[in-house]
Amino acid sequence: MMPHATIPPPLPCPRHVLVWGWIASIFSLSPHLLSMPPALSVGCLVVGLYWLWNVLGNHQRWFPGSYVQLFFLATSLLTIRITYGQWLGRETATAFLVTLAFLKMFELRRERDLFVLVLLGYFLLITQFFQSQSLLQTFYAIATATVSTLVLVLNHRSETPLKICWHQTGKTILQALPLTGIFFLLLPRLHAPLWTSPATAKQTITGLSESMQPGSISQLILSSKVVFRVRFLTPPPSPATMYWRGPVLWQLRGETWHSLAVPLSHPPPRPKHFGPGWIHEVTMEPNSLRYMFALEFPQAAPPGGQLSRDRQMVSLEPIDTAIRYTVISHPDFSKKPSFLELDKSWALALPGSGNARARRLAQTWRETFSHPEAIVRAGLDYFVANAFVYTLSPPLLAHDSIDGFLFDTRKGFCEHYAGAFTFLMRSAGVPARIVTGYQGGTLNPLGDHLTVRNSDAHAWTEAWLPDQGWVRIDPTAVVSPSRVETGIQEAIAREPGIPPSLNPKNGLLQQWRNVWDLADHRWNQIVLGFDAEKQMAFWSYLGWSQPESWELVVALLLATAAFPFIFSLLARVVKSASGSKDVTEVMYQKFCRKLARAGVARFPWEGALTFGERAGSLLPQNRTEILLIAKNCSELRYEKNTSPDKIHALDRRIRAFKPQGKQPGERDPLRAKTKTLEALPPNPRRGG
Amino acid sequence: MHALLSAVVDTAETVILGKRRQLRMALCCLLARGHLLIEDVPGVGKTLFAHVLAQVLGLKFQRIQFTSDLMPADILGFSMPNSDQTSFRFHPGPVFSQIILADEINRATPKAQSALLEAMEERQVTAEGETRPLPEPFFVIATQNPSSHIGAFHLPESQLDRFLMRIGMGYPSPEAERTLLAGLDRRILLKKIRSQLDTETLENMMAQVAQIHVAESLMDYLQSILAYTRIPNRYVTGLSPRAGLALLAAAKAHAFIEGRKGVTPEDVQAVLPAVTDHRLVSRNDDPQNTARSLLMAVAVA
Repeated sequence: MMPHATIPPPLPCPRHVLVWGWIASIFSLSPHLLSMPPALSVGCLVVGLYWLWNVLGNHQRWFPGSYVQLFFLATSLLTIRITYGQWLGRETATAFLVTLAFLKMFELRRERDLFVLVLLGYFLLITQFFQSQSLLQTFYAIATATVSTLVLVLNHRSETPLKICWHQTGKTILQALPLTGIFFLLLPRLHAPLWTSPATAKQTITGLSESMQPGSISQLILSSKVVFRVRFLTPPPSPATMYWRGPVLWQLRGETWHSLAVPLSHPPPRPKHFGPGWIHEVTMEPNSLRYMFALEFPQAAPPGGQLSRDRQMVSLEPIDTAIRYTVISHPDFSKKPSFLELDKSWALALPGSGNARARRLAQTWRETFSHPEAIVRAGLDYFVANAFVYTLSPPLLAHDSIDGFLFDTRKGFCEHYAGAFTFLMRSAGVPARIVTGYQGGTLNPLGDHLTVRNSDAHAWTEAWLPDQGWVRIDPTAVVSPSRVETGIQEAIAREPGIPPSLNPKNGLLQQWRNVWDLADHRWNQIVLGFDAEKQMAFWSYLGWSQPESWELVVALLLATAAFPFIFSLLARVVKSASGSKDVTEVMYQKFCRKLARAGVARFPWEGALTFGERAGSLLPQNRTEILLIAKNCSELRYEKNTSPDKIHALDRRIRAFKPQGKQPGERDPLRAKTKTLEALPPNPRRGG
Repeated sequence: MHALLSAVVDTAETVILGKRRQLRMALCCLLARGHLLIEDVPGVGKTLFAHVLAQVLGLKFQRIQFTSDLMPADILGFSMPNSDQTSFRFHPGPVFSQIILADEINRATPKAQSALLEAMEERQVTAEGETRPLPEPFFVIATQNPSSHIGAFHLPESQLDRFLMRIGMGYPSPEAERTLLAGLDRRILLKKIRSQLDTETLENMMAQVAQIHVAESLMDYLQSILAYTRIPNRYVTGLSPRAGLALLAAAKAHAFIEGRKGVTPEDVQAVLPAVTDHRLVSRNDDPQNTARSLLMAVAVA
């Protein structure tokens, strides 16, 4: 049998338009692919690549029938349902839309389908901001919008060179920027974010959590994600004493330390005396958690937060958007001991069995020393005396990890030290607890602020001493003083496998990081931080005190409507400013304006003579004058007989020219227009 | 209007009635050193028009009736052995003349058509290895019936492009027709016409046309017209650079006829329909309105 050649069906649009359409789709869809169920992402990618292959090679295209499409749809729906465990929710909906967008590639038969794909891309572009509103994301969104717009431009001007289309696209995007500014300033802000409700499980959250096990913090410090930034309004403390307090862990279960299920809701005892305070402003990145960080020890919680008895600051709402608050902290906050029996029992609780060697060691201290302070010292001395090593990659410990760490390996990270020390203290009868948080931070010399990243994560111990109350004891500082004094980077610089961002040797990279960090910080402060209050303050500053939401909306609509007019006015001003070299043209424009006010506006296509002819017939009283001026204008502009005298004469004439207004009803403008069309020469083949 | 040319038009109008605009376009075409194509149904006076023009301009006139068996030699001329049988003598064809009326050009085969069109372009004739220049001025007025008529070889676009302008005659107005019907035989009137110009004056005028000033702003206008026709999806093809040159040359001639020293937008607008009519095919407008809607779409600079 002869294999008969199959002719591929014609492409709905020129190939390069389709390829750009594909690129635009990938731009807008790929961020979602990363957060979608892997099986679905892979499937989508396969569809996308198949389609690209088809377009590039102009192969026989396969349009699946409705049963196949239904099958695809059902499969993807099922995958989404199984992965997210729910039908509704923003991740579910986004994943579904992304899948649909990829399936749409299968049915690109007509030009219209490409539009659907591109417009869906625009919409999915917005949904990216559910996940992050960072500066980087914004740049990415602008890039995506640009490429999508390019596809629309290309589709209309497929024969125009790509460069010109890029030019047009760039112009369109730039023209949209002022409009964006109007929306930014005028769109009423909601006091609560609109999209907080269904944050589904799949989101990976990096940050300190309510539990700590060996390895959890050493994992966390590999991430250089910014947690918060701090601006000090008073002189800052030295880096060694900057402990940013986070979750407090009370309970040891197995190998893992946990915080109390119910926060200690009684407010901490009021301070009896204040030491020197540090006022600082914290801008937290959104992380969907509730811990608010502050320098030890915050005096009171900022609005929206709560201070618990163990001096943890917790936000009332999950931190889904960047927040900013000002806290006053005092280093020697409360030394007046008052201890609830309940807290004491929590602070001494230990599992029934396990880590017998550590318990025995603690028992000997308990018998030797009478005062808790001496026990604490003995504990710290133990770390110093036995050559413990501070390392990011400690050997793995199996059962009874505290025993293994204290007596065998003696290598560990801050969580090992804090955990083992707290265990020892509790075994020796000294109430103790673990505090996790961050220590130090990077001073950004450009922005004059301190940036605290996940890599600054730390854990330490607090012990209860009868006449001092809770005292911070950092066993890590004993083992590796540099960790606390110069920061994590120096302490682990020689470790293999640490990310380059943590490497202090890389000067240029560090500088870049500072610049980017500053930009990100400003973005958070100025753009993301422009909430309802700031908006009010802004407009009040401009003299519009306390605008209501509806007033803002009305202003927004008015400004949006006025925008094109303002824009074209500006364009005209710019044009006339740049083109004012030609004196005769300026004079001619003035003449045209005068006639326009008298009711006879020039059509753009009319030359001076034609216009003069028409204006003369519409304004018979001024006919001679108009014709003369028009003829002079035309001569001066197009014929090479200019002399200063002529120009001055014409200028005087035009200045003196006062056209009589057109009588209303004398000739209706519509008829006047058809009349002017006759001024153009007729078609040559029609004769006449 | 230029006095001499005004006299030319007035004289011609005594024979061809009510065709002032066509006369003006023909003069434009001549002064711009272009060639003219008249396309209209039979019997509207195309041939008479060419006759009158030749007569009134005082130029040497030849008429070539194109038929399907016309050979290139019938146009260009041919060589014949001398009576002594030792050499050949070239007998110049009708193309060696100042005004040629190529009547019903679309009747002839493409071969004959190209012979004339080549001569038009080159302004010289090469036969038997010898190149002979054509007289100056050299002005071809070709007439053709609308190509839908039977037995016609439609001129392709590339050859249409050789004509600076294409115009139609149109039916006469009722008054003109009444005069025509009641008056004398046109052929007799034709003989009475006295030529108003001579070759030297015409050459002089052509030189002046080339000197007509073109302002920067007019160049802008012209270029925006060209650019507009090149926007995709409006026209089948945009105007070529040659069409741009043609438009400018015709506008200059028009300005000269109007007695101006520089080209105004009005000049461009006046000649544009005749210049672009056979070059521009709109995708949207109907052919009658192509030029007009083009002019309406481009702003005067």
